[in-house]
Amino acid sequence: MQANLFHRNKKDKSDSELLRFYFETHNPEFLGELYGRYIYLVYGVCLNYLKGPEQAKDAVIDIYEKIQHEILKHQIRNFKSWLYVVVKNHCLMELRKQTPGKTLFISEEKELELFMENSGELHPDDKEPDEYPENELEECMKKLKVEQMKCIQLFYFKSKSYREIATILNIDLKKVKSFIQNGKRNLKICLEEK
Amino acid sequence: MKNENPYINEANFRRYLNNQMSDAERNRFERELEKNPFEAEALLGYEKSPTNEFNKEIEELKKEIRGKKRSSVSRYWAAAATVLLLVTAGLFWTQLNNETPTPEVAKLENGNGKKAVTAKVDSVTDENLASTSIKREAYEQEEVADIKNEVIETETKSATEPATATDTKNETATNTGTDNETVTVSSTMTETESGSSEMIQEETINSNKNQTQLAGNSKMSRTKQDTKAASFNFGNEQSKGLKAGFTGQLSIKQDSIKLTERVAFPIDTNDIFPDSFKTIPASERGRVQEIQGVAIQDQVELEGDPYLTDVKAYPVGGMDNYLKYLEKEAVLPNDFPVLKDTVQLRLNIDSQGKITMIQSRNNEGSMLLERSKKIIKNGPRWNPQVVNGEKIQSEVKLNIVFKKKQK
Repeated sequence: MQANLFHRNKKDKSDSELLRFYFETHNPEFLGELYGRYIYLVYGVCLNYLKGPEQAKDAVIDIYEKIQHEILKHQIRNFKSWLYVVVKNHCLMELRKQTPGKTLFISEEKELELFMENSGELHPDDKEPDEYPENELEECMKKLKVEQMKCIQLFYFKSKSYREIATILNIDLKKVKSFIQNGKRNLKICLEEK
Repeated sequence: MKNENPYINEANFRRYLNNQMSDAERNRFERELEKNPFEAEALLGYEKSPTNEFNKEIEELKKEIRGKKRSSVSRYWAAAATVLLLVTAGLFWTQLNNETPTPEVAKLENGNGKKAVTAKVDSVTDENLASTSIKREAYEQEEVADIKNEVIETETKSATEPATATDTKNETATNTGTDNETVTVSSTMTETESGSSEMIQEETINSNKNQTQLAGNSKMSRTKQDTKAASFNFGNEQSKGLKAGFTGQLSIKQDSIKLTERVAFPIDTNDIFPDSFKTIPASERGRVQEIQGVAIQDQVELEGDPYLTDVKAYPVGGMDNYLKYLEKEAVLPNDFPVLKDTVQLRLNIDSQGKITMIQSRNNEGSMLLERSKKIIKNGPRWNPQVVNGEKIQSEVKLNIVFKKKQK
């Protein structure tokens, strides 16, 4: 009876509720609902790592079948974070199969192992630059490279999109992302030193 | 109560990909992307992909996952159904294999209690046809006849019944209430192209009043099974279609009761003859077949092993061959004081046919006794005595006549 109620309302349930119910019942309906919520992300990541849509689709199905058993072996607090790690691991394993002996992504694999061990939030303490104290931030901003500083200012303080920044600075969109990411990391390091 | 981030969700992801956001919205979404590598990497993947049919592809994947969800559940049912089917098939197969070949089963009772019926059916000469263990799959008819204190006359009279292979309604009864009964047994077997055989069997059992003793109000229960093309007659017209029975004690011998039976059905000769029957020497098979058991409507329960006929212990290969063997082996040495000497023995044969003890009954000299034991031990094996379908331990008296070899 309880299972039926959950079954009917599973779309309204939170991730943790669905997860708990899957642990209790092992009913794949609940895991399917949970997986379905993030399938667009799983597919996107698989597209990012693997060669084409067909491989990525196969990987999405394989991962679903895999997690039905794997999920029961772990204590998972955040399904989405855990799923991201599993997806990345799966894609790396697929790549390794395709190119045996290649040491590509080895550092990322180590990183993933750490994620697996912690299995917590990916960025629990991430602060955006505009959330730091203004005076400290100003000092550290001056230490950044010019491109990084400009991109950070436009992105966080002028609320410009990647696309707009690329137009304003007349640089490639990927460069914009890269400057923002690196600038943010350097800022964080600088601010943590203070 | 989904864990919805107001900015990072599937709808916004699609809007962003489809360029449906304003620049301010894009900035808000991209700021979230900076904090959510899962989304950021997925976005990279979509940007790298040559196709732009993400919505369609994602929907297809969702459908496939839903199919997997169903199939996971249905897989359990399929597995359960398969197991059930296999178990059922196994039971059915076991049942088929255990199905007793119920040729004719009769149970006789009288008012004082049950008495076993021994029906000796002779004149079945063909060893293939001697076994009446033909599977008759359906009871089509049960016939009941009451016989009250009847004495069947010795004279065998003609009351044969015209039985056809296909129509059981044409059966006529022959054996009750009349003085004239004749049943002939004759069998023919025709091979069909498919390899199976169609057997047409007519049995005639002569009934003999002197040989048949009925006492009191007698009832005979007779249950008959026919295959699709089989027809079988027993009883009389009054009892057609009903359960037939008489009580009392009946002994039927080859020349005393005749029953006509005509059956036509496909048979597999490898299937219908039990192994136990094959162990009976050919010379013995046609001689005696004793049937004993209880017939119940729609079900036949036999006491003991229905395949085993009641016989006394006898050597494998038949007594004649055994005697020849003894004659050949029981040779006195030339310097023996007498020309001929007899050793009287008592053999104990267990239920497996193994000779467990050999004793002398005439206290013959140890040399001949030991010689006799050796001859017996080296000789043919024995078949155990069978009573009520059960192999039992028995004692056999055997005389071995030792003679000097004639020159």
